[in-house]
Amino acid sequence: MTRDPEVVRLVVIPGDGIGPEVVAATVPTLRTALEAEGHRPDVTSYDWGGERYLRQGAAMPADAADLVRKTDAVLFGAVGRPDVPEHEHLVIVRENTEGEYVARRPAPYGRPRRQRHHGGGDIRRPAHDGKPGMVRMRYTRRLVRGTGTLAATFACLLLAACSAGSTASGGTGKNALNIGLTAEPANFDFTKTEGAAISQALLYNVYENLVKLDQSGKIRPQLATSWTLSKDRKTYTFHLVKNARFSNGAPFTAKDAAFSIERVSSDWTIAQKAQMDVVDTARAVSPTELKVTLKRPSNDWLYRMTTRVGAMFSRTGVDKLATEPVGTGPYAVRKWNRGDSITLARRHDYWGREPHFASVTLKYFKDPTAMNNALLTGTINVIGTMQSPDSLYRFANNPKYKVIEGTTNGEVILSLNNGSGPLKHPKVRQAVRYAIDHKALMDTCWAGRGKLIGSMVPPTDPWYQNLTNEYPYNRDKARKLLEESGQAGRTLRLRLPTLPYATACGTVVKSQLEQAGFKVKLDQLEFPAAWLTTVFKNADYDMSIISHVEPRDMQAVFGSKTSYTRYDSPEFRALLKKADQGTQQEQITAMRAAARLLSKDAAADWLFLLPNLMVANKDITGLPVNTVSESLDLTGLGRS
Amino acid sequence: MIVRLAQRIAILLASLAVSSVLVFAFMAVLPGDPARVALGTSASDTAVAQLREQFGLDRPLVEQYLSWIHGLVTFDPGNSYISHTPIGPQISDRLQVTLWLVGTGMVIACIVAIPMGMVMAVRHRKPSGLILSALSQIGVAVPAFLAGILLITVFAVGLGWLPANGWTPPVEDPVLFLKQLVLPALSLGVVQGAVLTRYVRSAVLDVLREDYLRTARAKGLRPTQALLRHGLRNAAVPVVTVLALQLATLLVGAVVIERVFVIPGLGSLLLDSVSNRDLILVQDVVMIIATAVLLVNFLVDIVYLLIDPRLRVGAS
Amino acid sequence: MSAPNTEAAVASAAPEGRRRRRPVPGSLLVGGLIVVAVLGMALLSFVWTPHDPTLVNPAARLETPSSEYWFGTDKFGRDVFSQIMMGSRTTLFVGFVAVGVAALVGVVLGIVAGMAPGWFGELLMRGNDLILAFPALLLTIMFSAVYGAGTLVAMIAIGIASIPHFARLIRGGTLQVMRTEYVIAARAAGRGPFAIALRHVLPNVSGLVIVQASVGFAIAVLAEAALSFLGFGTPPPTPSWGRMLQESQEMLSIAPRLAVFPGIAIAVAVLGFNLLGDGLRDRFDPKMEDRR
Repeated sequence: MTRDPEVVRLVVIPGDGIGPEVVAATVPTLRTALEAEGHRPDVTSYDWGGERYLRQGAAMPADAADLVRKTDAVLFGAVGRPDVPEHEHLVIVRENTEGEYVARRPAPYGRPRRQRHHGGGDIRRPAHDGKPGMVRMRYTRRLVRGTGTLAATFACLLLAACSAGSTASGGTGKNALNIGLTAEPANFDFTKTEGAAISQALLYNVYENLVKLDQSGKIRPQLATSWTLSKDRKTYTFHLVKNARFSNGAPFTAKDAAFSIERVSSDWTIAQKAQMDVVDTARAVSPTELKVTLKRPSNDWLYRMTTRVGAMFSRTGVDKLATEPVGTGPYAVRKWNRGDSITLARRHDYWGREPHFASVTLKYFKDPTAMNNALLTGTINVIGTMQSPDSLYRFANNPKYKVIEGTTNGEVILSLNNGSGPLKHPKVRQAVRYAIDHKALMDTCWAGRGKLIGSMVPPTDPWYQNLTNEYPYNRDKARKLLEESGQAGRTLRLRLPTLPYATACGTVVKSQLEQAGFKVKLDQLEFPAAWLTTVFKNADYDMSIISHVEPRDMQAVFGSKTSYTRYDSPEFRALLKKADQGTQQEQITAMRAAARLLSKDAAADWLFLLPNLMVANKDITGLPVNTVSESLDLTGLGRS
Repeated sequence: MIVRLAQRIAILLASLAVSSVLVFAFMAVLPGDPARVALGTSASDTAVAQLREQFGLDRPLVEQYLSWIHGLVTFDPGNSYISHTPIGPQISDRLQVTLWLVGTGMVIACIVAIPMGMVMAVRHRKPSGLILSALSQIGVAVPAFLAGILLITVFAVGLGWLPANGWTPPVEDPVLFLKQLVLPALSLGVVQGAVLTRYVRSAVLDVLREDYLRTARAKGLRPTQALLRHGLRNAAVPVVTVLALQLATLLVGAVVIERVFVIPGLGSLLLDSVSNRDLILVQDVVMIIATAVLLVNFLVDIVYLLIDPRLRVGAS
Repeated sequence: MSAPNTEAAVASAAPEGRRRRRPVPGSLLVGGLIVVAVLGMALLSFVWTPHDPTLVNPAARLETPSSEYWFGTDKFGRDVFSQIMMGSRTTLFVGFVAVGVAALVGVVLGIVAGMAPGWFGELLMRGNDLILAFPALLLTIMFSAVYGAGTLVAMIAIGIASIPHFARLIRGGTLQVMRTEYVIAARAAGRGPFAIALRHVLPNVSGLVIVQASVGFAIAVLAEAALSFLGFGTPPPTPSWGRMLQESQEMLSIAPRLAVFPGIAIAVAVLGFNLLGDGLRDRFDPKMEDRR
């Protein structure tokens, strides 16, 4: 090299978003530091990044490699506009000869495992397979050996830039909403992860379905504008919206819909995947027309299309479902502070009506009191699920707040092991049902909030009926039945998950059963892992308490003898089948009969229906009274 | 001196090795197959087997152990079983949060404990000393989370001066960060401070009994003067030891405060990953805490070597 | 204390020692009384409580203190006073298990390490230090994950975590005893190490054990409260002060007394054990013995 050894050629890439602002402040610092060390900085600035992509269709020019290669150092700002697809972003990896300094934009949340780059100096435009293109270059020896000041300055700059990337998340202001919830998702992949937490956050917000449930429980169009059903009631034809796009930029077509439906049986692992077994073929007739043929008529299928199994995925966006969900919904995941909160940001390129809030943060609280305090002190605007109904009065008489009380799909049941142990005997199960004073129980453990239903059907389902009088509280009758069964001396193991309602109600159930002559041993199993394995999978229990929150879950809980209730009734299964294949009226009749049969057989005891208890600042509008779907639908929320 | 230093380093390395084996063995007996837990209860056996292979759970234990250690040593511990995100940044994020909390808490503890402990020691026979002593006894007896709940009730919910809970990284909003830090750091600091006060008191009492202090007083210095000029440095040694150990154990011990104030710290990460059976994450967090404690012990040993001439020449 | 100082120390400590002994009965007395009271309450609860502490009574929810319910009732209608009484059993159980485990292992380890010469004793103490790397709460969380949450599991974990403190203390005491003339004489007379440990070392370090046990008790009670708060402690419906405190949290604004009573109970019990430990330390302090 022939140039002056003191000259340090520095390339500055301010990036987009807050990047330019940060870089504008850091360049002078860097200049001073370099000059202090006797270097002469020669600064060149490039506008690469998301803004350039939006303007020119590429985040950086084709000759970027050459431009960068001739320099001594590169200073990056932040890159990562939410409205630019991730794989279109300028992504640069650089490291010194020891492989120590790595910078890449958008800043990754850590370096993926085994990502080692070999061979130097090549630069590629981001490839279409979503893999980052890269610039890799070496520090010159001179700079590496350069004094500590420079290294420290550089470290600071990198730090500042990385944190800057995450600063943009909302949290305050009129366009932002903070909602307190209880169960944090373990990841974002509801195709492989059980539990209600992921669909609560993502369904209808990030992912959309062909059809969705409205707040009254009716099936409404979402990505399908309309649909028809063939005469033999086996073929559905959906007409799809034209202009929907996934958050990765890909258009939504009938091919994606067919792909999503077929993917359920091929790739999903959760229990609900069975709900798509009835599908024979799903075929894209045209980009906006989808034909789905069922193996047999099914009433349930279209309903299930409103739940997570009906979520629409992009054919090019299912590689990293656990961390980067890609859907057509009005929101995209902006940021996930694990153990704390998930921030959803409104998409600018959403095909439908824009929701009111530009940014919604779902904040997770393990402790109900902490959530109450957060609302009282203004950290959150809404308590999405109130877990301590006793403290509701703190908000009920306060004009600053409104309290919403409705129903959910969460039947709190005292599950009984129909397959083994003392509760194999119908008389013992019946005795249990007679021994429980449901009104007193609900008053004591859930402050009287909720609804006594006596069956597996919430009032929002069309076949709801009040079955609370099937086994009216009668302690003497319970005692008598227990004696007749010959199982009186045996101890029942009540194995509770570590959840607030289960612990509270378990205490009451134990006391009530003991007063009727039962022997009960209570223990707690950590939720989810220990409880799911011991009770739900291995059925190593006599009684447990759990709220089954999935919609229309009679089939899932009692419809198979391998389910953890070990309820085995061919008659019950026949009724469910009849309901699924019959007309709508037949469906209602058969479902009612099935629910009655469950109750008569004392397959479980239905303690009460969890209420939908929400507390919100007075000005928040559009909160659902009843929870009918799996989703916490944010699209209808607003501020008055 | 060099020999002793080498000895200490050897001990540290051996301790690290043994504890890593202990942690790994312990996790290996944890009931619940992590792959099955990750996939849920209804996953097919083939899916579980596939995931086991992906995680490397089907390999021999020794091999699993070695690859785990390799990951830790190279600061690339891989991805979590459950969240599929890299573990390294997760732990470092949480560790930073906890360090802020514990660090501030310990500073408060020192501010409370050092003057109070000294006063208690100097006046240990006077009523004022006894009253302070009684106060510190009560402080020791109050569970930290109760202190937290009381502080929230009074200052956040009651008076509305400070947020009741939550956490904001300092780079995002320094003012909110400080506001949110006050109450948790205070509840940690006051209770730890009470504990520390007892140590300061007894350390200062020990020093007060030393000959050189009596000599200093014989020179005509008042007790406080003598203590400040000659005693403090000697009294500081055991106090610093205790302080360092408290700091290390609080990495996980702060979890109770984290729970009360909804702070995503290291202890909470441990609890969450235990209940999710995110085995690899649990293993890493436990190992990091163990390493931290061992390192602190090591540093304390080294500091002793440096400042105590008796140890330096090798007398016991 | 090193030899050259002894004379001076004896000279100075004599008057101070006499004066210092005066406050001892204070903490010893108060601490002792509290501990006896907790013990008495626990024993009494086996034969009598005002109400059945686990009986759920929806008709009597959240009653304020009265002649019927001395401390009122909780949200399940259970009598708080009876629960506090029963809870003292859990508290003592917790203390005994944790301290038992720690003392048993720690004392043996400490004496062996103190008596074994050279590298073996050193190795034992290094192993002992290794336990320090796993703080009590960490061990408890790990143990609970394997064996399920429960008082016994938690307390064994706490006990294990407290072993190093016992072992270090006892080793120090043992080393001191081993240097005394009577032990040297006994060794010269050909007594085996086992006999020396039983005849000379154990009786002389027992004071230290009692002091540390008292402090360990206090630590265990606090730990139980913290663990119950996190859901790793005593499972319901067994009454425990820690869990009462945790359950009371959501009722704090309606019925603060539900937090006050168990809170006071914990604080007083911890205070009692700590004071007892302090008082006993002043009695058994080896430094004091040296000076006499």
